[in-house]
Amino acid sequence: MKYQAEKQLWGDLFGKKLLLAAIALALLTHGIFLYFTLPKTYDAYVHIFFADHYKRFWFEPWEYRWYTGFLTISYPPLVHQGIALLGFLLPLKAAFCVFATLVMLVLAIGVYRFTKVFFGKTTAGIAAILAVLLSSIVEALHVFGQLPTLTGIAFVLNALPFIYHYFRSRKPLYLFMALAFLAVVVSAHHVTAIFGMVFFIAPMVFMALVDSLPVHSEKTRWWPFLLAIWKQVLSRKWQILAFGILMIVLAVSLIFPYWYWSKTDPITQVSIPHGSRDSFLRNPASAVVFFVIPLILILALLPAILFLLFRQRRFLGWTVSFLLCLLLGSGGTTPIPKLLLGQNAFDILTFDRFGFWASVIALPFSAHFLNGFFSGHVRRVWLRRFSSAAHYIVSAAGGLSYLLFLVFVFHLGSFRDLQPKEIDLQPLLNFLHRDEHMRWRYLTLGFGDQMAWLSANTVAATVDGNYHSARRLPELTTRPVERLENSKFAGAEGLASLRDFLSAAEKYHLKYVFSYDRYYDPLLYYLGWNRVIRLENNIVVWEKGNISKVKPIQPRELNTLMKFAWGVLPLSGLFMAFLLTANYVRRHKGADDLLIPAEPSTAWPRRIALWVPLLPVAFFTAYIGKQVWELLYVRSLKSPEQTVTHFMNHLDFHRFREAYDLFVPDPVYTFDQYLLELSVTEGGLLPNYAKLDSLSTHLLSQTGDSASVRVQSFWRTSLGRRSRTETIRLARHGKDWLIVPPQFRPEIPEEQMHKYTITLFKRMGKRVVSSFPTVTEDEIRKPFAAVRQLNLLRFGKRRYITGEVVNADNVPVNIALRARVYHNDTTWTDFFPEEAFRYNLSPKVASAFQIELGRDIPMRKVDFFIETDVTERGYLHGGVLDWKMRDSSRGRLAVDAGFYNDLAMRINIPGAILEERDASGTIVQVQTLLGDRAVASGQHVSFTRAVAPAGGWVIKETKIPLQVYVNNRLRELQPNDHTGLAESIRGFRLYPHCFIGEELYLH
Amino acid sequence: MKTQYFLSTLLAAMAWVACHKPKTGLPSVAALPDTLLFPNAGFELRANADTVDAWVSGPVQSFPFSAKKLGGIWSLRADVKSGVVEGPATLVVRSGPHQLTKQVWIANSAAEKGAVAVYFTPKTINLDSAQDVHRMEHQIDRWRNLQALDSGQHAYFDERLIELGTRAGTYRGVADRPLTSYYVHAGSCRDIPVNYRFNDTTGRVIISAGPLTDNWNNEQAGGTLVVFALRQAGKVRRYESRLLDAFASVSVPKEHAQGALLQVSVHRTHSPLIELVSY
Repeated sequence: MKYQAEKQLWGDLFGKKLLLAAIALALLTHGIFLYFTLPKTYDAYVHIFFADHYKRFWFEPWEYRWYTGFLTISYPPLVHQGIALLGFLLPLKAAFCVFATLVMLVLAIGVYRFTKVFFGKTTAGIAAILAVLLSSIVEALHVFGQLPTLTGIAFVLNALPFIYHYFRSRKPLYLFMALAFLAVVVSAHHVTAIFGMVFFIAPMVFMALVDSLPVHSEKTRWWPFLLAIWKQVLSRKWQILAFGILMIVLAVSLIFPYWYWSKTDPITQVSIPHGSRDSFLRNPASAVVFFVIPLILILALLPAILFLLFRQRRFLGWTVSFLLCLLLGSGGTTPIPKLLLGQNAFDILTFDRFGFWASVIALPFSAHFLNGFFSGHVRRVWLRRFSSAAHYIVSAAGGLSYLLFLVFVFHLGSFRDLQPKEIDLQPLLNFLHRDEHMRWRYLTLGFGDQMAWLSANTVAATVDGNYHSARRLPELTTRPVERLENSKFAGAEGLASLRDFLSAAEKYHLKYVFSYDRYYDPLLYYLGWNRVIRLENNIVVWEKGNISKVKPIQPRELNTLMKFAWGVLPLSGLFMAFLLTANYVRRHKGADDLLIPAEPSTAWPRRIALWVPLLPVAFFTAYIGKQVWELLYVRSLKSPEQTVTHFMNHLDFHRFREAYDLFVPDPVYTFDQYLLELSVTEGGLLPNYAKLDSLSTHLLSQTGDSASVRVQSFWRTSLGRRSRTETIRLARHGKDWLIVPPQFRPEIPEEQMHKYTITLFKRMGKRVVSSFPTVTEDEIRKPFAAVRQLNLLRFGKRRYITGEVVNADNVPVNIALRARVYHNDTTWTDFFPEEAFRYNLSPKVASAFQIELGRDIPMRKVDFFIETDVTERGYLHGGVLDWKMRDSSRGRLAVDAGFYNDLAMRINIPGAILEERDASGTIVQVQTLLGDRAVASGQHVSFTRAVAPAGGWVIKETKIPLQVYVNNRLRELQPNDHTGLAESIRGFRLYPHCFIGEELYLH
Repeated sequence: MKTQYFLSTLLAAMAWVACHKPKTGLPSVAALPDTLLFPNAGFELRANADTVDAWVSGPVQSFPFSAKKLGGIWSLRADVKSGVVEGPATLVVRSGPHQLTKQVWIANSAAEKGAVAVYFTPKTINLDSAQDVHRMEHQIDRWRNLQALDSGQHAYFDERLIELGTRAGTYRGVADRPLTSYYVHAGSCRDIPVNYRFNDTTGRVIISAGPLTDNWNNEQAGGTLVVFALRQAGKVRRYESRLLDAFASVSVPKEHAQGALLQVSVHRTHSPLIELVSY
C-alpha cells in the first residue's frame, strides 16, 4: 500500500513536470514559429482585421471597410478584443502571436486537467505534451489560423473538470468556476460553445454520474446500469437544471447582440463549397488537409483508443462523442452527416472542426497508451517479446517520423501554395493615402488572405471581404463565391460575380483594383479598366474612370446598451475567470482530486501492445515518403499520352525547362531555340492568362517508335472557358516516349528596326500643394462625347440596347455607359456594358456598344447616361486588321480575321469589335471577337470565329422613350450618318480591340 | 442645547452664504468699441469684476479675447496674429451672470492688395459651336475679402463677353496663372486630302492624308485617329494612324494596295472612294 502511495506521489510530481515541459515546449514551438507561419494561414489575418476594428472603434460595431458595411456583432468578440487590447501595446501581428501563445498555454493546462479526470497525472502530463504537438492543433493554428476555435476548446477543457466535480460533490464553487470558463468559451467561439455542450459537456456529466454510482455498478448488466444512471439523473435534476439554465442565461446574455443579429439578419446565401464537405474518397487532396493531417496520430492509435473507450462504462458518453465527431469529421464521404444535420446545416458548417474535436477527445486515451508504451504494460510486453533495443528503436522511429511529419504540418504553407507570396503593403498604403484615393473603394485580386491584412492597415474600404457570414450584397450571396479576390478558384460562378462588380463599378464606387495575378488582366481590360501604375511591390493598380466618390452610408443602428455590453462583457468574463481561478488555486485547489477514481492499471491485449506502437511509425513514414516522392516528382513517360500530359502541365506552370526536357534530344534544337520559338508563338490568352482545367488525349497512331496524339486542352480564363486542339508527334527514345519538336516556320519581318509613331497624352495636374484641400482646380473639364445612335432592341424575349458613341473631343476619353431602365415611376435597375465596347477612345474615334437588359424585364422608359473623363491610357487598340466574311453552316457566317502587328510592342490578345447594321443603318448586334495567340511586332496572326447574323430577327422597340444624358445634361442624338463605305461587308464592320500586356504607358 | 446652538449657527451661516452676492460691476455700453482692427485688435474697459470673458463672433469666424486687469482697468486683446474676413460681427463681454453684446465691424488694419481671379465660361471652346466666351474678374485678398477692382470705383466684378477669333490655341487670362487660361479647339475636319505613292523600289505604297484642318484652317488635334480602309477582293484591311502636325500616313504592301478601293475617315468626315492604281 505504502509503495503504491509513494509511486502515485512520484507519478504526480512527474506529471506536473511534464506539464511544465509542455508549457515550455508550447512557448518554444508555437511561440516562435507562429510569427513566421501566420502570413500563410487562412484565417489569422481575418481575426487581426476584426481586432483592428475593435482597436479603432471599440464600442461601434459597424465596420464599413468590407462589403459596403457590416456589423461585427456577427462574430463573438473575445479573441478579437483580446488581440486589440494587446494591440495597444504591440503591433497587431505580434499581439495575435502573443494571444495565441497564451491560448496554447491555457490549452496545455486544459488538456492536463481534462486528462486528470480520466487517468493519472503522468498520463495527463503526456497528454499536455501531446496537445502541444498534436497535428490537428498545429494545423488549426499554423495552417488555418483558427484562434477562436482554439480559445474555445482551451477553455472548454478547463471547464470540464469543474463540471465533473460539481456533479460529484454538488458544491456551488465548482458550478461558478465551470460557468466562468464557459463564459469565456461563449464569448470566444459560439460554435464551440454550442457543439461543446453535446460533444464535451454531456459526456463529462454522464461520466460524473457513472462515477457517483456504487463501485459494483460497473459490473452489472446494461439495463440495471442504465436504470441506476437514470436514478442519478433524477436525484440530480435540480443540479442539472441549475447548470443548464445558468448556461443558457450566460450564453444568451454575454453575446446577446450576436443572437439578436442572427435573428434579425439571418444568413441567406448560397452555400460556399468547402473541402471538408467533400467525399474524401473522391477528393484525396481534401482528405489529406481535413482528415489525414489532423487525425493521423489518432488513426494510428485507434485500436488502443477504442480498446480503452469500450473498456469502461464511464467512458460511454466519450465513446459516442468520439465516434460521432470522427464520423462528422469525414464530411461528405458518407451520407450520414447530411442525414444527421440536415441539408441546411450541412451546407453551412465546415466539418474539419469535428475531426479536430475527435482528436482532442482522444488525447487522454492516446496519452494513456503512450504512457504504457514508455513505462507501463506495453513496454513490458515489448521487453518480454523482443528486447529493450527494439523498444528503443520503435520509440525513436515513431518519435522521429512524427516530428518530421509535424515539421511538414508546420510548414504546410511553404510546401504547398496555400497563399500567394507575402506582399509588402507599404506601397499600397502610400497609394491609398495619396491624392485622396481612399475616397473610393478598392478591390484586391490574387492577394489571398492578405487582403484582410491590407484592410487592417488602412481605413480605405473594399467591396470584398473575408467573412462570408456577414455578406449581404446580392452579387455575393447569390453565388457560391468565398471572396471576389480569389474568384478564379470558384469557376464560372466566381468570375460571373467578379464581372458583376467590375462592370457595375459605379454602383459600389469601386475605382481601384490592386492586381497580384495577371490572370484577371484580360477581364479588367475588356471591362474598361486602365492600368495606372505598377507599384514597387509588383502590384498593378487598375483604375476605372468616371466613378463617383463613396457616399456616406447610414450604419445599421444598434441599441447603445447593446454596443456597450458587446464592448465590455466578453473581456470582463475573461478577467472574471482569471480572478476566480487565482482565488481557486490559492484556496481550494487540491481538495477535489480525491473525487476522481484512481487510474486503473491497464493490461493491454497482446495484439494491441505489439502492433499499435508500429502503426504510427508506418503511418508517418508512409506519409512523409509519399510527400517526398511527390516533391521529387515521378517522371513517368511510359506512354505517349503520359508524356503529352506532363508536357501540357509543365506549360501550364511555365516550367519551360522541364517541358523542353520532354523533347527528343537534338543538338540543333537547343533550349535557347525552344525559348526563342516560344517567345514568338506564346504569350496570348492561352496559356499566359489561363489555367489548364482538363486535358483529353487521343492516340491517333502508334507505329513502332513513333506516335501521334491529338490533345484537346480546356482552359479557364477570366473571359470564360476556352479549348485548344493540337496534334503532337512523339518518338520512342529508349524506354520513354518523347515529343518531336514541332516544325517552326518563322515569319521574319522586312525591317531590321520596326518603328511606330504614337501620340502620348499627359494630363497636367494643377493641384496646389497647400494645407487646404484643392477643390476644383485640379479637376479637368469633362470632355465631350456624343451619341450617334441608340436603339432598344428585342430578340425573342431578350432585350438589349445597342448604339454608337463617339469621342468628339481632341483628347483621349474614358467613357462610362449606364442604362437606367425604369420599371415604373419609382423603381429602376441600372445596366452596364461588358466586353462589347471600347471604353477608351482616341480623339474622334467612335465605338459601338451593346448592353444586355435580360429577359422579360418590365420597362416604362430608359434613361441612358454617358460619363466622360480624360484619360492618358488604354486608347491604343491594335494593329492592322484585315477581315472577310463567308458563309458557314446552318445560316451562320464565319469571320476570318487577321492581324498584322504594326505596333512596337506585342499584342497579347488580338481582338476586334464586330458590329452588324441592318439596312437602315441600325446597329443590331455588337460583340467582341478574341484570338487566343499573341502576335509579336511585325508578325501576323489570324483566327476564325462564327457569327450568327441578327439582322431580320431583331425588333426595334420604338414605344418606350429613350433619353440620353451626357455628363448629366440632356442631349440630342447626332445624325446617324453612314460609316465608311469601304469598311462594311454585308452589314458587318470590324475594328481592333486588342489587349496589349506590355505597360507602354507605365514606362 | 449644544445641538440646537450648532444647528442655528449652521442655518445662519447658510443663509448668509445664500444671500451674499459678489460685487460685480458692468462696463457701460459706450465703452465698447465700434470697430475692431486686426491683427492685435483690442480695447479697454473699466469694470468692477473678478472675471471678464470676451469674444467677437462673425458669420465666418469667431475670436476669443484674453483679458488682463491692471488696477480696475480691463485690457482685452484678441488672440489673432493674422488678418480676418472683414464684416459685421458681434462683440460679447461676459462677467459672471451678466453679458453685454454690441454690433461691431471687424476689419484688417493694413490693406493688402489681393490677387485677381479671372474666370472664363466656357473654359474650352470648340469652333464648331459658340465663338464667344464670357469673362469674369474679381479681386480677393489672402483672407478671402473681396476687394474693389482698380479699374472701377466700387466695382467688385468685371464682366465681359469676348468674341473669339477663329484661331485655335491656348489663351492666357492672366500671365503666370495657368488656372486662368482658356482653350479654343479646332472644329471638325473639313475634308480629307489623300495622296498615295507606289514605290517600286520598296514594294510599298505610302498613303498619306493631310493637311487635315477645320473650316478656319486650324489643324486637327494631334493624336486624332485617321482610318485608312482598303477593300480588295472581298477583304477589308483597316490601317490606323494618328495625326501628327495635321498629317497621317500608312505604308501598305503593294500587293494589298494594287486595285484596292481606299477610303480615309476621320470622325464623320470621309474621303471619296479612291481606286489605287500604279502607273
